[in-house]
Amino acid sequence: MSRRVAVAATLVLVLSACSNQQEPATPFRPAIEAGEGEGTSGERLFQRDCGWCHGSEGDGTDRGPSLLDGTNGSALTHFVLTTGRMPLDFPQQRVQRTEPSYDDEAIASIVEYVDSFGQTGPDIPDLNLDEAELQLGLELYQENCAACHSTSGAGGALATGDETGSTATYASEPRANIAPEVDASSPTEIAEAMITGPGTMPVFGNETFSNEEIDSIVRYVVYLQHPDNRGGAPVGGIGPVAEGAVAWTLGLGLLLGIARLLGTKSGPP
Amino acid sequence: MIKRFVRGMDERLGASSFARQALNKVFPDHWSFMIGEIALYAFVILVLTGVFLSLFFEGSTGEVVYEGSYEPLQGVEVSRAYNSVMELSYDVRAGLVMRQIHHWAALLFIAAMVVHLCRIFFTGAFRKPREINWIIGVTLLLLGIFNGFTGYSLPDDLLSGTGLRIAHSIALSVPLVGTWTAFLVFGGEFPAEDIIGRLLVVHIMIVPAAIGGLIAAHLAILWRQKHTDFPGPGRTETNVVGSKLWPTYAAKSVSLFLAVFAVTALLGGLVQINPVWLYGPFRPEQVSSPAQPDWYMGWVEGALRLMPAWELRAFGFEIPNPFYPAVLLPGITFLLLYAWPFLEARFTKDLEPHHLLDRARDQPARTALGAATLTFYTVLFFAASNDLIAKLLEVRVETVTTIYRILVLGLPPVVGYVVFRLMKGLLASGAERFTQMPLSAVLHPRR
Amino acid sequence: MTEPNEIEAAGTERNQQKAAVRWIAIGFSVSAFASLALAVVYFLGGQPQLEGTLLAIALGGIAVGLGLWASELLPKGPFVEGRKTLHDAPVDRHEAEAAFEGDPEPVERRSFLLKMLGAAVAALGVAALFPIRSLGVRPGRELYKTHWTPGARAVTRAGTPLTVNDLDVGGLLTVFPEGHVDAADSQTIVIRLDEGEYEDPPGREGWAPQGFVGYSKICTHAGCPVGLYQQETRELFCPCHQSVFKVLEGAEPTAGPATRPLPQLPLGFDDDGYLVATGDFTEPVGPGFWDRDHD
Repeated sequence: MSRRVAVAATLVLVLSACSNQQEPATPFRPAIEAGEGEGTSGERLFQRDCGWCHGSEGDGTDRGPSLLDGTNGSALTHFVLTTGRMPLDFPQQRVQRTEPSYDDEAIASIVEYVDSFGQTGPDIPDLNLDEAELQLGLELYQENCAACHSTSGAGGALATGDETGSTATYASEPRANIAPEVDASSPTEIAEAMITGPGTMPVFGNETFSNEEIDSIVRYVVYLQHPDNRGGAPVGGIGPVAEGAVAWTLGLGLLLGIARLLGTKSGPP
Repeated sequence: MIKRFVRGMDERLGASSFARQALNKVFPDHWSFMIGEIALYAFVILVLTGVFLSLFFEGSTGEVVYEGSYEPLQGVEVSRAYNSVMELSYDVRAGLVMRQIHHWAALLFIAAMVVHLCRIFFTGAFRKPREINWIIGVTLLLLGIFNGFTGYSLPDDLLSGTGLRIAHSIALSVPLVGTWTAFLVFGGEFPAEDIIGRLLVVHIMIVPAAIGGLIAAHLAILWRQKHTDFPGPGRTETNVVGSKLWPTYAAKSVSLFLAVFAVTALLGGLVQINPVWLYGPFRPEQVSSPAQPDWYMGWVEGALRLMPAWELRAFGFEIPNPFYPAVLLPGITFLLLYAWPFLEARFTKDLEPHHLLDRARDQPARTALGAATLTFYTVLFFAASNDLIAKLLEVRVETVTTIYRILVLGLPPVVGYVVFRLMKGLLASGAERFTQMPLSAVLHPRR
Repeated sequence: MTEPNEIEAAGTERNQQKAAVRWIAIGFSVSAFASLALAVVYFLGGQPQLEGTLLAIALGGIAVGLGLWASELLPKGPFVEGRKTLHDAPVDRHEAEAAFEGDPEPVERRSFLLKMLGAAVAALGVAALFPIRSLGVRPGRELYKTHWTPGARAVTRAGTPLTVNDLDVGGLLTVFPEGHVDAADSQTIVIRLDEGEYEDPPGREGWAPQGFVGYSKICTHAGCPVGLYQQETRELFCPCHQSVFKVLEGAEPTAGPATRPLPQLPLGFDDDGYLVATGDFTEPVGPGFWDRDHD
């Protein structure tokens, strides 16, 4: 929230720029009807909520990618469901973290069902954070993750020079690429994102890193969610832009007000 | 007591008549005359806190293992410079608050100078006989920005290292002398080991001494020439109306100093600035996003971001892209700033001394030109955060950049024209304030 | 005789002054208490937020007190001071000019001596410039070469060499030539692409074995590490000034201010199966400079 407030000051000039958010044309996912009570089975939920785009066999349609190749598997399915990235309301929607649509049990049954199509990607990782080394985590995070997600974990913008937009997002027009903030992810989700590379994120899997290295990175990211900050309000963790905004509005604003009070103009002699 | 003191001083220095004159010196009371003082006092705070910091900072890139109380870095190899800043922040009592006050005071120092400059510009206070003080003032702004950048670079954290990397590239981009300049300033190819130690000498000795000396000259000249004043009842070219230095103005001024210190202390205590523990130690192959400099470099950073991918290549030589936004633009900027009083005098053929100020409306052309110029730099400044704006609004970075490219060229003339018409209208209608001005005065200023 | 309303005005002013004195006293006392509290906080081990706030109150209290004192109690004037013309009488100016001219030498001799003096001072100035040369090494070939040599193993910052099994498809790592992990100019980004999706550009055949492609990590614009790899679009992104480079097309820039592609490092695998460079970059890495093409 404070990040928004801090950056808001820098936005005045582009407020008129329209965002690329699309209005939903038709809901692909019909509302859950009353009386469908017992249906938490993975198959039913998948066919109702996911098959629209990913195909009833998980082999993809022109609205959504196949689930039978690349890093698809339990880890990725689990990641997109627990972070609420899937299911989307319509295929052009921005894929981003929201409240999950299902409870843990339902997610587990969907994951199991999707795996039955044939899994090419990794399983949900087993983490051992107790022995993970914070210092190694910092070194690896700085080297491999901070470039996109920021040293503070606040995330950042990416840019594509590709005028046609990215090939796999099924968006109808080019859209902003964003490396999200890491402040809400659970340890399992962090590891799943690393080893599967969801969206435009590269893969930092078991070939690149050992389990201990993955554990230590996860531990450092978890640390970043509540770091030992002693300087006061972190103003969004985005650095000099927010600091400059505070200096001009709060700092200089106060001082000019004080000068105004002190320097009242005297009348005619 | 006072009697004995005055007699003692007078018998040794013959200072009574000077003291009487000095204490009775009259200062005009308008609040906008105190903006320069805000900058002055921010500088005093910078010196006070800076002395404390310099007792702990180590200007060396030699490697050392961090063993302070910040857990994630324990056992990590860092430079001595970074190590000493971490110790100062986490293990020296009152060290962090001093560091943060220092940094906030630096941001406010330059911000106050910019507002002060605007006040001087828009009221015509730079006109004869005050051109020398204008030149000194512009030099102070230049030195302030430069010393801000050197200070930002000292902690050898990831963000400041990235800034130095860009500075090295900008130096490289200068035709003919670029490679030599970069190698002499840094001591070699980036990241040269010498640079932090050199920056320290520049940051805590050379530039502060120059700033201190120039401030002294600035004030001495102000004292000799006496302050300008706004036109008003009883104010003429041959008098100064206001409070006496002693005791009223002195009390106000000291009060302002303490207020500036209080505001920086409040920010230093409550708002985190430059958390080098999160940025981590500098490694040349690492980078963080977003990556911005402190605000006063924002206009150069914005220009670097908006510059299209053009560069000049001919006969096997090239003038690299960063040269235009980061060398040429600042060069022209400061050249024009220095030359302005003489350009205007030439243009208006006004060579008379002036002690009464213009109101902005009295010189519509100057005001419009100033507003347009300010708009240009403000757009550049905001463009330096194009990636953050893109992320916040969820639009493409390229879209934001394109909009800014249009704004940076299109907005200044529009602002200039609108301001010109407003000023003309205000002048013609004789209204005191905008709100009292009839609309027709803007639309038909000649009537 | 004083008029009743003047008495009234004087009374109000007295009351105002009384109130001012009370507030000034409050300001100073608050300040004193804050200073004492600051001392206590410091003595107990310090806490940045408390330190800043208490210091602000201690300073602000005096500021408020003095400000009120100045505006409510001290003589307000307004006072008037005359402003004399800045310049002196013409006779003073002439005398100053004469004093400056100084010596009674004949003009010819004087101008000769002044010329000689000027030459001597200029020569001294040039000689005094030479120590600047001591500040740095000669640029020489430094900017044209890196530490990559044919057969140099690519290692991570930790010094680990890579086999074909040490990087995930769709992943990336930053590597250095073995033994030179501190060589900033040699930092290289290695991306593992799906074998088959990448075609060698002409003249770079065999530079990307098994989908391992290496580019200099130093942006050709202003030198920032181009560490942001967008896997979906196969693009590298620079966070400093937003240049975008296309990985599948020789890292050509497609957006932002960069004008040149990232130089590519020819890669191979040695007999032990480790990733190596098969040569140095074929052009200078990093930002441009005047005689960059005069290799």
